[in-house]
Amino acid sequence: MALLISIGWLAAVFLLCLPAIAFGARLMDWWGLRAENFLEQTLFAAGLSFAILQVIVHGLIAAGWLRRAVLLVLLAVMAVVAGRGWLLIGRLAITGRAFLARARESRIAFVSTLAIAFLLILDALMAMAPLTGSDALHYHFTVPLLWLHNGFAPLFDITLSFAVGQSHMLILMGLGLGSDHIALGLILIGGVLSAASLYVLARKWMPLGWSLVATLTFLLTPIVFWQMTVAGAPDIWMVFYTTVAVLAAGRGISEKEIRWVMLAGFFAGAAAGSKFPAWAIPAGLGLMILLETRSVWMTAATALAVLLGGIWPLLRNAWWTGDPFFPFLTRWLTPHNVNPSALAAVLADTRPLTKSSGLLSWFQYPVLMVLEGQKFGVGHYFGPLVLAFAPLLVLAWKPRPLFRTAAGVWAVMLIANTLSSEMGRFLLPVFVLALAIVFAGAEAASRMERPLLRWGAAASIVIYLLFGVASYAAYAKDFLPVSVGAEGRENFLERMSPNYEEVSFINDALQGKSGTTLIFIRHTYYMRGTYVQGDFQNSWQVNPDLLGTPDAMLAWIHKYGVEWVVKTDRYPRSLREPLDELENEGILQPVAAAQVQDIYGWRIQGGKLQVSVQILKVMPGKP
Amino acid sequence: MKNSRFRVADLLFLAWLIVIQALYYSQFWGQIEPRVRALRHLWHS
Repeated sequence: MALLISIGWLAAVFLLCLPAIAFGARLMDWWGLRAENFLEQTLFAAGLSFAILQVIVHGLIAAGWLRRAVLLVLLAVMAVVAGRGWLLIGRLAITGRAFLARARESRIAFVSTLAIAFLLILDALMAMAPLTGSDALHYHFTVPLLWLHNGFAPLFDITLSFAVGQSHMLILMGLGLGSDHIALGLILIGGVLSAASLYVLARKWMPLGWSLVATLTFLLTPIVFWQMTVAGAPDIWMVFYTTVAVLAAGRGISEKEIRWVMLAGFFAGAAAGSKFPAWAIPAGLGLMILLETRSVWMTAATALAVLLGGIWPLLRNAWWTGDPFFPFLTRWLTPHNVNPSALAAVLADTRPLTKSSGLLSWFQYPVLMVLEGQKFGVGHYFGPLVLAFAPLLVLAWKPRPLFRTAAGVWAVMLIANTLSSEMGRFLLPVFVLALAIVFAGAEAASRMERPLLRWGAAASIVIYLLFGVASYAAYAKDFLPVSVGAEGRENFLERMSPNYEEVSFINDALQGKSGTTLIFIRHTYYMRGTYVQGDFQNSWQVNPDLLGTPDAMLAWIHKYGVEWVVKTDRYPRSLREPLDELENEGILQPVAAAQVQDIYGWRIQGGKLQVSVQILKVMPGKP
Repeated sequence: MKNSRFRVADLLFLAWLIVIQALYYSQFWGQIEPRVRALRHLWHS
């Protein structure tokens, strides 16, 4: 039964994509933009449509009009307006048949195609597992859900809510349509489109077999299958938007055609609007367009399209806080709003523990990111091939605008990442570019009479694919059973979802009771009722420097209408003294308690610990 | 002369590949080692 339900959700997501692609195809027709083949045209159409949908959904939620009926009408209008755009889907099916016939001619191409198809089926099933990703439960899904239920408003008690960007609007759309499975399915679609865009890019530089092996490598890379299936983060959409931006820019630069570079800018904007560090992408793209075309006019047109695609989260943040990149520029833009403890927590979360500086460290970073990835934002999840094949870049070089643009955008993103955060995972948007370029080098080496190069590269790829299969299996064993019905949903959530047992206990204990609950729990997606985050690690509105006394703490509790306080083991160190004092004075009185299990560390490592949860009622005064 | 220089470059590249990948995969030994130990234990019992 669970398997059928999973297939049903996947079918719903697939059906949702069709009008989007057809609508995008019609827009491409109207603007006279025709790609080199139907697959590429489909990718441009999908990118255009979903980037437009993101803008519309952001507008709908801001206006307070986001409902299932409105979304269904929107999709219906897209389907009708698409008109002849639907023909592209038929043409794509014909192209698919022709592709299969060609793939059969080469053993590597055929085996790779089968492996890709098999992986995508597994990915699809894995993506239908209930949501358990840590950041997803904290803000990627929680913030859209809160906006949907409570209206569009700043959530200062979830500091990272201001990092919700354009691609989160696809999550919001899925939730608005009625299910987080649709939202997860849309994330999966971002991954599938990214893989297809890698294939299209690779095909411009290498033969079919190599392109398919590059695509297979991408799909077996831990950061990719993690992000497109179970992470619950929309970051994989940035990969897709960045790649189609580069493809469109390459075409626009070659033909000096402003419509193509504007399309590239719109895609780059959609990528940038998804995450603050991704603003390096339009910066790199704009720089390459300026260098290649020597046209300020074309660059300015690109910049305008970038803003149309991605400015919206920045405008929203500036409207709410005065800082478009809240809270990263707050120190300078609105210093009176700074919460030093909360800011320090956010900064610690977005850079490595030992951020070094200086010329030597900048050169070390790309190496250490891969070899000591745990210290540099899970850089080891990208695998070793980009670094290992780096010497082949000299062979990869192609004197064409597309290649130079891809290399330029990759370089700008890498430099920006090195100088700012040194967090490897922020390089995900350019991973396809990097992989396509180093594979172009490996393919060039394979054509030379240099057996050491050829066999060294081939053996490295084979070893990595085997490693990818093992990593994939280690992940899938925890997530596939629930999708196919071999494990119950509750059992799975208790096993894999951080804070789930605490949240379930709170939901049961406070069911039917009114009032806001003060919590010190990071993962609140499954939490019901009104709550406010009490830990400055998560919340901008908790400043421990101002809450050091019981009176100040009580005033804060009254200010936010808190009637219940949830104590998990002990209060956070920063607020322990005033809250313990309030408890001793009898202002906080325990009403329910339980011992539950929680996940310790990364969920995939399976560590568990026992946690005591206590619910305390806020009394009107001292007893 | 040219050929021999290329061979040196090829050997250097091969050494680079081996070193980078050895260092990369060794990161995961901490996760693999308990499983290997469990398998060994299973084998001996």
